Amino acid sequence: MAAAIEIKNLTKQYPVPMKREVVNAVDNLSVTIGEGEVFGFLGANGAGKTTTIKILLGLIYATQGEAYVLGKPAGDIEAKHKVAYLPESPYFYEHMTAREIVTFYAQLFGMKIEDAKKKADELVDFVGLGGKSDVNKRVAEFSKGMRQRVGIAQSLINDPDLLFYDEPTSGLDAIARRDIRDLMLELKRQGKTMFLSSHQLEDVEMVCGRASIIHKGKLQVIGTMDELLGGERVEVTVVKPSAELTGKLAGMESSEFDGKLTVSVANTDVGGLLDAIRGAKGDVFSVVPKKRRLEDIFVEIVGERIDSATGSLASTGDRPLDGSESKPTANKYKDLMDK
Amino acid sequence: MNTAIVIARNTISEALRKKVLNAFLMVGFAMLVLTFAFQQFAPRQELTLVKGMGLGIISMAALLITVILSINLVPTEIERRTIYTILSKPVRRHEFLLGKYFGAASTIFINVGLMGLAFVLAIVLKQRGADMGSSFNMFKGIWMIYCQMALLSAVAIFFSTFLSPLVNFFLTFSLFIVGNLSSFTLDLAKNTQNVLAKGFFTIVHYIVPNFGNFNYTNPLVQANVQVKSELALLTQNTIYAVVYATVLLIISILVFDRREV
Amino acid sequence: MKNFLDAVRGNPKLTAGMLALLAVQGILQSRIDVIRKDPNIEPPSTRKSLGGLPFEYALGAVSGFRQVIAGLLWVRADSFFHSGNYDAILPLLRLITWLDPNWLDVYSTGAWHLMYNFTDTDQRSDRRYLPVGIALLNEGIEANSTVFDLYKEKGWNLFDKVKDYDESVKAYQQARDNDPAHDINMVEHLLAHATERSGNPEGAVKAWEAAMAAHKQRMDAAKGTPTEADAMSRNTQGLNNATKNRRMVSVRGYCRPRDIARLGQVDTNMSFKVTRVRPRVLRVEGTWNLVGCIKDQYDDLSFDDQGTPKAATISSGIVMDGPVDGARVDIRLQDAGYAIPSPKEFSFEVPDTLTIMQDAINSRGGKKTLRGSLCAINTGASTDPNQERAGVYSYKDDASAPKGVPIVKALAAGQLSPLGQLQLATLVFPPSTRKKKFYTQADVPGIISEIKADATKLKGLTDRKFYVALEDKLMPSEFGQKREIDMSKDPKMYSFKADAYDLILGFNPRIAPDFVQDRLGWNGEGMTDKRYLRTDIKPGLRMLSVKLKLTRDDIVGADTKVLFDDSKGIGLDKIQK
Repeated sequence: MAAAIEIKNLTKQYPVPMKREVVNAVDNLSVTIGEGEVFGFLGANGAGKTTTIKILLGLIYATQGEAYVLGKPAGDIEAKHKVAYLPESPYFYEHMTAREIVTFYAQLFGMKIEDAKKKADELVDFVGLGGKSDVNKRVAEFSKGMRQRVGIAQSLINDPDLLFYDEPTSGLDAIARRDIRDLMLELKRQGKTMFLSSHQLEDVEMVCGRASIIHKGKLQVIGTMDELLGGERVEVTVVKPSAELTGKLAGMESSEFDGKLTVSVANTDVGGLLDAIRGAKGDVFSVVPKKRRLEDIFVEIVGERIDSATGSLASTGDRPLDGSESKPTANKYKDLMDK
Repeated sequence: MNTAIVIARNTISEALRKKVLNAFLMVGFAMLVLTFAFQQFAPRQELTLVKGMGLGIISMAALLITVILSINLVPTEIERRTIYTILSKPVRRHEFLLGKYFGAASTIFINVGLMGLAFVLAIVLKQRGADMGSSFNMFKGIWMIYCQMALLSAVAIFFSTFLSPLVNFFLTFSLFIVGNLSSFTLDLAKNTQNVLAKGFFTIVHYIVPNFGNFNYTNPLVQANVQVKSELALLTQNTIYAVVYATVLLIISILVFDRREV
Repeated sequence: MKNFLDAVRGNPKLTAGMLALLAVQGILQSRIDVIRKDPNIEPPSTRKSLGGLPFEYALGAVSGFRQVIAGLLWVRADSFFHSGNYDAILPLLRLITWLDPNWLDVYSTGAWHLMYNFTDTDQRSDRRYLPVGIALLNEGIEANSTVFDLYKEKGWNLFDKVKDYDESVKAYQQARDNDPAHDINMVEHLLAHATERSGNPEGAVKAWEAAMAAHKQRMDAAKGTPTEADAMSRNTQGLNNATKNRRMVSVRGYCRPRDIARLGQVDTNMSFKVTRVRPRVLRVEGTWNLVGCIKDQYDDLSFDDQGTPKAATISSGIVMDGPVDGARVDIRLQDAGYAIPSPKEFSFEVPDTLTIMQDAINSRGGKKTLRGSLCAINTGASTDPNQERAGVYSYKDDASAPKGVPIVKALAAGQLSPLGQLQLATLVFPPSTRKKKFYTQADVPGIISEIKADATKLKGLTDRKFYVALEDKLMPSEFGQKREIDMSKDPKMYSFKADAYDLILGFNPRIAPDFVQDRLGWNGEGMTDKRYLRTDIKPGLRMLSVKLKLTRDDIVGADTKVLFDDSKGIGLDKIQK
């Protein structure tokens, strides 16, 4: 499988205003995304998602490292013929209609005005703005969801091989969000490669085949959805475990509460675990299957969760942390990244 | 280059819809009408006043339109993130910048042209078609105003590639004034004994865009003034504007080429 | 900055091209500088104005809005003018002419303000401003030396206000010579008038001929061009006027010397008295024989179109001379020894310690009736225009009138002189009623018989108290008796700071109206005066002039005092040679 995007040891530093320091917006990032993949790029606001995309598009420049898009160095004009970008909440030319905007962008690909207009009609229909009530409206009168559809329309002009979508669903209401998600699923069905940057974990979960989590510019985890969510896990709780048993179970993901020890394992390992408990004469209180979500993984890694409305990190509140000792950097998923 | 034209056209259509700019244009038109209020003067004096004031008002309105338009072109694209969508298309940065400049220059041309046409038409009507030659002479002044503004626009766009609009606003205006003092700087350069000062003023005179070159109202307003080298002056000023604007655009392109947006 | 340098390094050709173009613009700039040295494009005087302008105006003036600032100031000056605030106009004039030295109307209007509109309470012009006004025009001329307008303006002000015809002639000549496109009517016609006024009729004839040639040349040049109609209408009228005027000067040139030789010089016999009425109030009064032409026969028929007489001797000329109204005695009071300065550059500051007062006093009331000619006894209020045309003086009562008899009686007794008969014919049947310009002696007998037979006309003459004089009567003209020259109300204009003053009283025939010049000549050839005739003031000019030396106290002293009275021998020691 050829790589649509190849990022090697990418670092982007910004000087801190008024100080003689730099901050790493992107820190030694390496990712490879294959053709036809729908890749989720997860992170809170300021994690370095947009910075990475901008580097890939040649809008800003890496401090260190390399980045290739469709086999060409980032920013290459050739590659741009096959690439599309939808920035986060863009404000298009307010005085124009959706059709005029798409026509304008189409002309930037060197299309003749007639072809550009035809293409615009087609795409405006595709994103659902071709209705009588919308077609003559200026963008100034558009809702946020409608603007986002314009953005998607302009991203499809060149029938791109690779799409960069930056927070396509953020700030949208539930219905608009579902519509945009459906559009993305349709694009996925068409076989487009997508680089989907988002803090909306749910969207990524539903649309992406593979995803990564980025925090403070650093890649925290990367893997397929199956790998990340790890299929079914089972929690086995033992009442009043003996010291022998506790010693046996040490090193496994576990928590102790009110004299009960709960151990979490993949469902394939449940038999072995139960044998071990019985062997130590342990008293099994319950065996409960658990489904994981990206959110859980995020919280496990970052130690905080993302406020889905603002995209910022928020305190996890009363949700018990996965062991007070565990540091986000103590990455249990490191083995996944090594694959 | 086609891409630059597409961007220029888009820039014009957007600029012509800008309320602020149109307000200045309207104020310009209104003031032009007001200049015809000097009825208490003898006809020849009235004509002198109307011509002088009219060219001044066009110049002033053009100045405001040019600066407000040009300082905002690039920053606005960045602010509303449309520049990302444009530059992620197969558009080279210099094409984007040239498109913006040509759009600005065309918008200014349309604005100055409209005011100029209205002005000359008003004078022709006022004179009831007499002395059409001197009425059409006004176009020389209007052309000089345009050249001046096209150059000023290049200055503002150059600054806009690395400065915020507010700083740019003051800097562009200051440079406009300094550039208007060209005859002073020339004299200072010639008359001062201090070598450092001499060097400084010489550089200011020859390097700062010389907006004073385009001030050519008096010979057009006063019928008794004949400038022998008028054609040479108008031609050289036009070439000067083109050459200097090109210089500024090239520097802008170089600055913008690696700028992070 | 690093990115910029990277870009420069990455685009060496573009950078080189940019640097090359930067050099090109520098070269272009130096060439533009040369052209812009033309003061018509960027007048150096603009900078002088900056100090006098408020900051935002100065900023505008140097930023390409020079013309706007000049315009705004001029609009302001105009509003000051309408509100009568002349003082406020002057600094504006200074600034505007610095800002735009090519604005002709500002100079001409400004000079008009300076020379005509600064007046005292009695509407006497402030003479201190005359040299200032001329200086303004001179400055304008320097900045606009190739157009006739300001030379013309200067010529007119010298002609009309200063009445210095020699200088006026020079200015009009410059207008003519420096601008080939000058307006012939405005320049060459006035040049001819000024030349005549300067006492040079031959020169005036030449000037009119030159003007005629110029008109013809303009018309020829315009033939077949789009401006032909315009040129024709302008020049045809001008050519007609020039032709008429040239002929007129020629006719005068023929008649005036002959009349003066025939009638002899008039003894003006000027006598005057100067009284200080109150502090700073003078009365200058006197009598003199202001004699002019009462009736003439400037017989157009006897001269051809060029004004050349058709025969060797022609009877045209003055038929009757006598005292006339309409010429004035000039009075000037000024700091002793003051001479009109000629400042190089216009400055609106006039010395506030300087006092100059100039006035012109009307002369009136002179009468002359010869034995056998007509006179009338009436108040003159209902004077019949025909009476004036006939040269018949009115007396207010029997006592002042010469001894005489009613016309009916005199007609019967044949007591009318030939002049008396001509007067009677003109009075009763003005020549226009007979489609004539004037009567000659040959016309008279027939008309007299007609009058004799017309009882109604005779009764009318008797009712209106027309008499035939039986003696000669001469009453001199009087001036200034009822006129006080009040300088007490304008202490700023008449500061009287100096210790000594010149009071100059005089009559210049060059200023006098045509009908006075007909008798006294262009240069006073036809007049003499035993006391006050001066021939040394201007070469070739005979004029009346006397200069008295007054002290400050003479003028500002408290009580009424006669300062000078030549008939009583008072103050004769004040006369300066």
